[in-house]
Amino acid sequence: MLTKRFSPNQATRGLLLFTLSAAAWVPQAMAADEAAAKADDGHQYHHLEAISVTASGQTLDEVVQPTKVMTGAELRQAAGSSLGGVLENMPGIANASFGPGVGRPVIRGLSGNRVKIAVNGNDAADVSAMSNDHAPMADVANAEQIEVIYGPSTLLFGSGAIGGVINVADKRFHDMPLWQGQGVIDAEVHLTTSSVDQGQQVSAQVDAGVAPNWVVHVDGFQRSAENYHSQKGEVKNTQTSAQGASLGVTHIHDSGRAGVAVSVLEYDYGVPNADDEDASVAPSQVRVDALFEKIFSSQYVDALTTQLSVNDYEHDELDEDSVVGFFEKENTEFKSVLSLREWAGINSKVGVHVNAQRLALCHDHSGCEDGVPDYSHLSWDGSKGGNFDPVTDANGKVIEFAHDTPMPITETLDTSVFGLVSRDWSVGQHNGKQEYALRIDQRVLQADPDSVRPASRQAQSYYDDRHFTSVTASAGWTWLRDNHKWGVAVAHAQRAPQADEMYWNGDHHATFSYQLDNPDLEIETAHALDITFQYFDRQQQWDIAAYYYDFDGYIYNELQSIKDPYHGNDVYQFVQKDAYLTGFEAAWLYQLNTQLAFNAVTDKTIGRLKQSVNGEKNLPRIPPQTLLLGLNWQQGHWLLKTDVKYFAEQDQVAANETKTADYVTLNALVAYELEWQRTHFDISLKGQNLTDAFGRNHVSYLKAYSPIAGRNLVLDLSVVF
Amino acid sequence: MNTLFKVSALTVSSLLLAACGSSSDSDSHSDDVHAEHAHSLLISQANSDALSVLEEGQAESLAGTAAANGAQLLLADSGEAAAVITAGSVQFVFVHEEHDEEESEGEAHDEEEELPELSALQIDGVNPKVINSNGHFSVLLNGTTQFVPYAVLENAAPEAETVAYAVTETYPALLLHEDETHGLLTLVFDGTNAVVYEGDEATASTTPCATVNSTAHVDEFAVVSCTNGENSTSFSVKAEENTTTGEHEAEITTIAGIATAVEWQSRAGVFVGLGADNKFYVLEENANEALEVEGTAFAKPEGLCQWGLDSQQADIFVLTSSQLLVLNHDGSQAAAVTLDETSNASCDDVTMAAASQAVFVLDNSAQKLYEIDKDEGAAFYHIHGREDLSVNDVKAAVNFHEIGGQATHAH
Repeated sequence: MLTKRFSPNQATRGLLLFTLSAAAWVPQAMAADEAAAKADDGHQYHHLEAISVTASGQTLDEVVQPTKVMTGAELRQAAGSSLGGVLENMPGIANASFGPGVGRPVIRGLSGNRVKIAVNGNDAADVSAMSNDHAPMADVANAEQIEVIYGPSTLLFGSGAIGGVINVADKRFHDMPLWQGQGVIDAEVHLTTSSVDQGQQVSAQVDAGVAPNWVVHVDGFQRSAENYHSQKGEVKNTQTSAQGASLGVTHIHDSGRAGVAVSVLEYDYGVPNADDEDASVAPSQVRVDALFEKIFSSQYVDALTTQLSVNDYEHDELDEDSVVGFFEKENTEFKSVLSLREWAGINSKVGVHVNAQRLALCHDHSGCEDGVPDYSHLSWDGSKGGNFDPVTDANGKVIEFAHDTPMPITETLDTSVFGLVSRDWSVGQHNGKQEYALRIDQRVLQADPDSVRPASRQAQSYYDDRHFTSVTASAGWTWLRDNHKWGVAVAHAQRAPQADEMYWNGDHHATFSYQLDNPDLEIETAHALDITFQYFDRQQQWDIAAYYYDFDGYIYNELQSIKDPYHGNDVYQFVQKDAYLTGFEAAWLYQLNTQLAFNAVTDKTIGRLKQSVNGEKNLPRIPPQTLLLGLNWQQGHWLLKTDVKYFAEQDQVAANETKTADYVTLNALVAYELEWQRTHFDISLKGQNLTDAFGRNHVSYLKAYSPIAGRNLVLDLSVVF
Repeated sequence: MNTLFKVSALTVSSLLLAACGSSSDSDSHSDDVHAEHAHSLLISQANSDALSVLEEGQAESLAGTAAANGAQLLLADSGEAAAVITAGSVQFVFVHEEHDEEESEGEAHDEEEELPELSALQIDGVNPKVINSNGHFSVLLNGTTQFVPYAVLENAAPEAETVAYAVTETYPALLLHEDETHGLLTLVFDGTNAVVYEGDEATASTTPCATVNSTAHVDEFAVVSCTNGENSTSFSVKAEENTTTGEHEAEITTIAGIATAVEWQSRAGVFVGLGADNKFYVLEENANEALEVEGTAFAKPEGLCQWGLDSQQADIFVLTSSQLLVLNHDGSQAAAVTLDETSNASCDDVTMAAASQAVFVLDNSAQKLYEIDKDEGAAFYHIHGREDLSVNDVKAAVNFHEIGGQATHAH
C-alpha cells in the first residue's frame, strides 16, 4: 500500500528502523534482516517496505535529522483517534487534549504555531494553533502515514516550525499507475469500536486505475462517541462526532504527474467545563488541493513540484444550541519547489511559497448564525471606543477589557523563498551527510476593523499594516560509522507573530476563558541545537536525542493573575519573553529472543523563562517526564504488546498554573493478521489504562475538567484488498 | 480476489458510512435558535393597539384584545404582572409558568417557560392613575381607589377591592397592611392631606400633602413625595404591629434633607429617588428604624432620558440616548455601556426595562434591543446580546422576572 517509488537497500532498512517511533519499531524490532529474508511470506508489517517522507520527497535515510514515521497497522494500534492521541507514545511528543475528540501534538514542549500540521505537505489551514480546543483539520482515519519532521527539512513547509512538522499523508495523490493491462482496484475498510466512550468508527478508501495513466482515490470516514468515562465517572461534554471524505484524481505520465483533490472534514465535539454547561465546537473545512510534478531531462533541473491548496474553514462554538462564537479562515497556499540535478555530489532544492490567509471571527451571545458581522455602516471617527473596562492587576498594570470580541478581520500574506542543499561526505570509513537550508519570509498583516463595533474599536493606528521579515537558516550533519550514527543540527529560526496572537481579543466561549490581544508582539528568534545518537546491532537499538532551544522573545499564551471582569473566567494573553527549552528523548529496544523484545522510552522537557514572572520562571503546559516500559511478543500471525507508562508529577509550573500529579497507565494489545485470497485482515484488541488510573494531562488547557480516560477496550478490524 | 467481491465489500462499507453519517444529521444546529438568554419582554407601541411580547426581537402580539396604543406599562413589584395604562382604561397582564417535560437523549428535562397572558380584568375610565402597593395595583379612577391583588389576575373573573372612603381621592391610596380581622390599613390622599385609614375610618395619623409627586413601597415602609404650595417634602409611613393591641398602626415621619419633589422608586429593599433638583437620593434605615438619606445626594448624569433600578442590588440604571450608565448608591459610576449599534438617537427613541442584574434597552431609531447584564460575581455590566427589533415604535417595555426582597449586600 505504500509508495514504491524508492527502492531501499538493506542499509536503508536498517536506518529505517532507527527512525521509527517506539510504537512502530517495537514489533519488528530486530527483524530487519529476517524481514528481508522472508519478504514474500506475507507476514511482515507494511512499514518494512520503503517509506518515504512524502512531503519532502526524501527517504528516511536521506534526511539528516531523524524523521519519525508511523504507518499502516501502527496507526491503528496507536492510543487514540485524534492526531495527538495517535502520536502521544512517540518519544518527545505529548497530546494537548481534553478527551478523545481533540488532540493537538506537542513536540518537545513546543506547541501552537511552533508545531506545523500539514496534510500531504500543505498547511492544514485550520485554527488549531490558536487554542487547543480547536481540532486540527488533519484526520488520521484514512491516513497512509504520519510523519514527524525535525530540523532543516521543516523549512520546506514554512517558517517558525521550530518544534517540528507533522505531516498527515494519505493517498489522494498517487505517483504510480494502478494499471496492469486493466484497472487495478485497491481498497481498505476499517472498523473500530471503543468501550470508554461507546465510540464507533468506520472508514474506507478505494484507489482505482481507471485508465493506464489515471488513478482515482476516494475515501471517507465517520466517527462518533458519547461522553467518555474517567476513573471518577462520566466526563460531561466530551461527546464527539466526525466525518470526512475526499476524492482525488491523478494523471501519471512518464515525465511527472498532475492531480487535483477535494475533501471535506467535519467535527462536532463537546468541551468539558466547570459547570458542565452544554458547550461544544463544530468545525468544518472544504479543501481543494492541486499537484503538478514535472520531471525534466535537463542537465540542470531534475524536477519541479508545484502545489496549490485552497481551504475554506469555519467553526461554530455553541452554548447549547446557540452559536455564540464563530471562527472563519480562508487560506490559499502556493508552493513550488525546483529540484536541481545533482552536481558535484550536491543535491539542492529551491522554492517559493506564498500563503494568503483571511481570519475573522464573531462572538455574540445573541448568536453568530449570520457569520462574521459587518459594522462598516456605523460611523466612526477613528478614535477609541467607549466600551472598554479597565482592570488593575496585582502588579498595578491596567488591562482593558471589552466584552465583545474586538478582533479585526485580518489578512496575512506570507511570501517566502527557500533553498535546501545536501551532500554526502566520506572520509575513510567515516561517512555521513550534511544539509543546509535557508528561508526568507516576508509577512504583511492587514487588519480591518469593520467586524468590530466602533464602541469596541481601538484608535485607528491599532489597525495599521504590519510588516515582518524573518530569516531562518539551519544546518545539519550526520556521521555514520559501523552501527553508530551521530547527528547535529543547528538553526537560527525566526517566526513572525500570527494575526491571532496579536489581535485575538475577547471572550473565548468554548474554553471558558478570556483572550487578550497584544499588538506589540515582534519577531521571535530561536537558536536551536539538536544532537542525536543512534546505535543498532542484532541485539539492541538505541535512539537518543538531546536539544536546547534558546528563544529571544518567546511568544506564549500566559495565564494572567486577574479574572475576566464579565464572567470571572481565566484570562490569557500572548506575551513575549526570553526563554529556553531543553530536554532529551531516549528509546532502547532489546531483543530477548526472536519473538520477545523489551523496550523502554523516556523523555523530559524543561521550559523556562530567563526572567521570572511573579516569582516563577517555568513556561506553562510543559509536558511532564514520561517513562514507558514495554514487552512485545511476535510470532507468526500474532502480536502481543504490553506497556506501562509513567507520567511524572509536573511541579515545574508557570505563574498562576497548577501542578499536576503523577500517574501510571497499563496498556496491552493483542493483534492477529491473516492473508486470505489476497485479502489482508488485521484484527486487534487494545486495552488502555487497564488499571483505570486517574490522571490529568498537564499540557491541556482544560486539564481541570477532563481527566484521562478510564479503562478502555478498543476493537479494530481492518481489511485490505 | 475477484471484482465482484471487492464491489460487494465496498458497497457494504459505503452503506456503513452512509448509515453512520446519517445519524449525525440530527445533530445539526445551524438553524437552532438562541435559547440561553430567553427573556419575557412586554412592549406597547405608539402605532398599534396590540401589546406584544418580544421573542428574539420579533414582536408577537399578545392573545386577546387590548386597547394599548401608546400605553404606559407598570411592572408589579413582584415582577410577574404588569398594568397597561391608557387614557381610557387599565388592563393587566400576568405571567404564568408553564412546565414542559422534555425528554432528550434519555434524560428528562423540566423546562419552565413564562408566558404572558392578558387578564380578564379591565377597569375603564378617564385618566386612571396606577401605582404598586404591597402586593397590589392601586388604581385611582373617578376619585376612588381600587386595589387589585396581583394574585387574582389569573382568575377567570378577577375582582378589585374597593374601600368606601368618605373623601374624593386625588392619588391612588397606599395599602399599608392587610388584615383579615381588622381590615385594610391604608394611606389616602384627599388633595389636602395624606391620612391613614383603618378600614373606612380615618385615624389621627395625617400629614399635609396637597399634590403627590410619587410613592414607593417596600415591606413595612412606604415613601411619599408631596408638594404643598411651594414646599416639597418626602415622608415615610411605617406600618408596625402594636404589641399591646396586636393591631397594625402607621407612623408618618418626615425625611430630613429632602426639600424638592422626588420621583421615588424601590427595589431590593432600597428607596432611590430623583429630585426636581436633578439629584439622586438614596434612603437607608437608620438605627432608630427610620429612613434617612444615605450619604449625600448626588447629581444625575447629563442626558438622562430614563432611569430605573436593578431588582437584586438596586443598582441605579441611567439611560441616555447613547449610553446605559450604572451608578452605585454613592453616585460613583459602576459601568458606562455605550449602545454600540445606536447612533444619533434621541431620548424619544430609547426606552428600557430593568431586570435582575440586567436591563434591556430598546432603541427605535436603530431598531435594536440590547441585553445588558452582569454575571454573578463579575465586576462589570456589559452588553450580553443584541437583537434586531421588528418594530420601531416601542412606547414602553417591562421585563417579567421574579423580584425578591432585600438586597443581598449591605448599604
